[in-house]
Amino acid sequence: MKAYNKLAIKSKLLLLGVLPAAIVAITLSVYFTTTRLNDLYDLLHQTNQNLATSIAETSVNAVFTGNIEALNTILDSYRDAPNVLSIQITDAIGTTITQAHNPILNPAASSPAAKEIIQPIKLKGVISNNEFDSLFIAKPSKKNEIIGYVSISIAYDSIQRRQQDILLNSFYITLILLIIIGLITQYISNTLAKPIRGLASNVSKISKGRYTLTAIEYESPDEISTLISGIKSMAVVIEDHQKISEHKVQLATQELRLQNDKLFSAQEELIKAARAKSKFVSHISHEIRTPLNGIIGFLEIIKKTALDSEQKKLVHASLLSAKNLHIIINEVLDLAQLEAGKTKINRSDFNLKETVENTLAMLSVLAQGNDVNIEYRHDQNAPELINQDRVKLGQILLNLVGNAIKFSHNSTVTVSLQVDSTKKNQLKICIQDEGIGISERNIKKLFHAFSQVDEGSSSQGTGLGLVITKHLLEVLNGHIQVKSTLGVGSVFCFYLPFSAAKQSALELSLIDNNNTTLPELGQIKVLVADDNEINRLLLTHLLEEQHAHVSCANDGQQAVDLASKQGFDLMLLDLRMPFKMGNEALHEIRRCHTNLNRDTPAIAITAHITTGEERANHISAFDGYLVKPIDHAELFNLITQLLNEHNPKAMPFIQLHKNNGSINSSKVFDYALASKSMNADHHLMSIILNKFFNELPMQCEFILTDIHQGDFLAAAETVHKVQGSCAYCGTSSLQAVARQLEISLRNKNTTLVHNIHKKFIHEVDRLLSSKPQILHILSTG
Amino acid sequence: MQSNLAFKKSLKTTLVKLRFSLLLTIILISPFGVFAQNISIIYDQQSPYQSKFFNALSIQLSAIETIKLRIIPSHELSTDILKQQQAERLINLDSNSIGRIIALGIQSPTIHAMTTLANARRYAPCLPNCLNSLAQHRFFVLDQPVERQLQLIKLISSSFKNIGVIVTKRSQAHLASLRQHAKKNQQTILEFISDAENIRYQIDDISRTSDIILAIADTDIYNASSVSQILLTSYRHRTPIIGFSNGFIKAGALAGSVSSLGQLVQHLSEEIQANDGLNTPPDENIFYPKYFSVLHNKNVAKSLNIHIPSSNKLAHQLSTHESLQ
Repeated sequence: MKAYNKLAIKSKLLLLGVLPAAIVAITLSVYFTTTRLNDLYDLLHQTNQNLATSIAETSVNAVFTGNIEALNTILDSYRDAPNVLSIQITDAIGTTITQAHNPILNPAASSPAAKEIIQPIKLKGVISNNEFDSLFIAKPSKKNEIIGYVSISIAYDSIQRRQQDILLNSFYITLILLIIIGLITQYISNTLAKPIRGLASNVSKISKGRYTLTAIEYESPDEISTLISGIKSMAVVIEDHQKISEHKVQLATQELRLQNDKLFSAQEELIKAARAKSKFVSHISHEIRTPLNGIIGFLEIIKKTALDSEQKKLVHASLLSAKNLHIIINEVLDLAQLEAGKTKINRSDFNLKETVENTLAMLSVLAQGNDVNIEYRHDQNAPELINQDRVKLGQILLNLVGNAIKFSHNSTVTVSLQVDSTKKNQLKICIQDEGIGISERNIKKLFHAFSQVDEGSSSQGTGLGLVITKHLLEVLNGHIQVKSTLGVGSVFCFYLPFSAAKQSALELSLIDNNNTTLPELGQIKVLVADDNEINRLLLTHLLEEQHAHVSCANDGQQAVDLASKQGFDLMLLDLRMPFKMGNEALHEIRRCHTNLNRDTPAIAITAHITTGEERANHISAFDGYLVKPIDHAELFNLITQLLNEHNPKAMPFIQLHKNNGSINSSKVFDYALASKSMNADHHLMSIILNKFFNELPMQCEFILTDIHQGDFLAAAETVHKVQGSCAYCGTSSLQAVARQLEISLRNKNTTLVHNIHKKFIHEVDRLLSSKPQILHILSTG
Repeated sequence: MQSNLAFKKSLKTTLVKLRFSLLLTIILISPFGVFAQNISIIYDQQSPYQSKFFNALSIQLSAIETIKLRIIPSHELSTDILKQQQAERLINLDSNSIGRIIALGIQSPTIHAMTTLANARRYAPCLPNCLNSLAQHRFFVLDQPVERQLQLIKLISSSFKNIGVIVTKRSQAHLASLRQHAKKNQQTILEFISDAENIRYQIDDISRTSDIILAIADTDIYNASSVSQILLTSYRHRTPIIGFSNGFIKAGALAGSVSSLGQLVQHLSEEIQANDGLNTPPDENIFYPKYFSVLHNKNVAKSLNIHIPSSNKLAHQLSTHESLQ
């Protein structure tokens, strides 16, 4: 049935015509052939039976008298009969009297399908009406009636041949009939199938949206004709509808296009606004951080001067506020990054209670301003030290408690800290106020960015506080719950998981104490280049405090000029300076062979918080970098490392972070290092690495060309770039070799250059051959 | 027309029956019966020709006052019934009862009619002259006397010298008489003796060697089945056959002397009357039909190109010849 369904209409019609005809033809053929054959057999039997009867009747007298000659004569006259193999005459008990064989038919060659017909030879009684005669002539007894038998063997060869002929003829006739029927059916099926195929083609065209139908020639006024005209009309109707629809769609599309254009315009505006925002954020970060840097720096300086206790308290509070402001600014500026999930988590051991209390202390001024009393309830079962991101915890607290204070007047804000009863390593910190409260509808909008700003209720805040808080908690695997009743107050409870502290309280206090001790720099000469006077002053003050000799430059060009005139032990170059950027200035200094500070360690100072490639390009030439506002401890720690430990020939670049020191030079690719250095997600890492891998062969070409041309410095610059990229991309082994090559290039040690260059090329090849695996690691996460 | 014929036929039959009943009543209630001779006639009432023969005989004897006829159906035949009827003479018309009658050991003179010589010899091999228990039994055979037949052959054609005769053991006894009379007529009897099974194989030989074949009423040789084949064989050799019955001659025998039922009845009646004296013993235990006719088959004669005188002439010549004897 499935096969039938798959057939085309023409084949189906053909089948419909041929199959019944074939069945009828075959049935009739079989019937007539069988009948004919049966008749043939019957006729043969009848003929031979007649023959036997005839012989029997003819032979009666000869058998009766035992006249064999007469019998032979009789048999001779019959033995040529067709299909007769032999004729035998026996007496009543079966003894052969005589027999004759057909001279033409050989009994031995005949098929075994031979038959024997036996006819008794009977005496015929004389019928007399005179009963008196019965006295003389007794009636014949049955016993005496049969006096012999005639046996005729019939050969079936001829009839079998005839049978074959009949079968063959029947087959040919049936075949010819079928062919004729097939041809007729094909003609009919063609006549029917052609318009149907045409119809199918037209329907297909209609379904594809083409309404110019092929003309179908069909003259018979039957259903197909109706169908043809119907489909034609249908196509016209559909086409009309289609045109109407198309017109409507066209109108709708036009409208949509207009809307899209508007949307695109709006999007462009948004993009422009976003770009402007980014630019603004970038600019403002520099502009805000620089004065803030000054405030913090000078407050620290003031803190170290002789002050009474009240002043110390005020300075301390100011310093804390400034630092927190700095953190908040960072967070605000990093909002985009925060939302993009790029927030950096800095987990460290810290004193939980102290951190909370310090944070609350920062808000004491605000609380006093609002006549709010802050009540802190600390769970005595809470661990003294925990491992978590202290700054972010502080920021969360600042946001939530600050909000509570802002919206409360002349009331108490209760901060309670307890270890979660269900999860031991989870803090539950609740901030309860008696403020105005939040409606249920607003609670739902509470954590949506700018929602507060939109509602115009943000007169007392940026509106980003809770959004940042929620994001921060999510980053730290925590969450927040809000319960509030209008006019009664609100309770913000956040849950924050933590790890047990890795250090003891004693160790932590020692670290804190150590941090406060700055190193003695001695009589080193330091070049400080910064276009910002306050920063220059701050750095100068800090360095001179440690007895360093500081020379200042207002811009990049001045820095280059100074560096070319006198030698320094250390250079602190702001990246963004007039005339020449920090990195440009450093390149110029190092490019000049005669420059006294060609090998002087240089520290980049940047207010940019950009990540990834840009930072890598800017600071790759430096031996280290600091981000504004400069942490004193970090500054001196870096200086100490560069002065005491740094050998520019062996390690031209020191990175600030602790893990930077653990470069594994044997690794072709260090994922952890790359991830840390780039501070980017896998996608960005892939882009950067791809770019690096793509640039590398070209850079190798430049290096090789420069080496061949004897321009070792140019080659060194290129190698330096490669090295910087390597540091950033976590390709430590290539970085180590690149570093050696740069040194050898800068020293113009030809032999060494060639040797190390070979190693460099080998490492490049090694790295590039690992490219697929590296990219695979990044793609699979 | 047809109904008239049927009516006439029916009327005729009724008249015959009435006549027969009347005759029988006269015989039975005759006041002279006490002085008459009791003759019991044994016949098979189921047999039409026996009944016919009986009727004809009764009519012949009815005029004779000294003869009182009684009937014994053959199936009721027994010593008791014979004693009861006090039969002084027995006329047996049923050839199938010959054996039983002989077996009963009846001493009354008995005439067995309606049988052939060959059949009679089955029960009385002593024929023609029997003694002892069979001395009282006489056989009125249907066969024509040998001298009549040989004379007929001679009358037909004197060239028929070699007369072929086939006999079985049953009919072998015929030969002596045949030889005897043939010799007188200067004829030769070619004997072919065989058993009943193989006798047919002699036909060809006898037909080939004989001038004419004289058929003897022996059903082992000449029966309804074999007659046509024997005739065919003989005529293949153009040898004519002298038959012994009307049917045989009609079937293809050239000619033959034949006694009709009436002639037989006449002869038997005369024989009964002639021997009414109980003291007159028979000279032979067999006697042949005295009255006869000659029949011949014209077609056969024509086919064999034999010129035969008319049947009556032949019969007359034969009668004349016999009377002269």
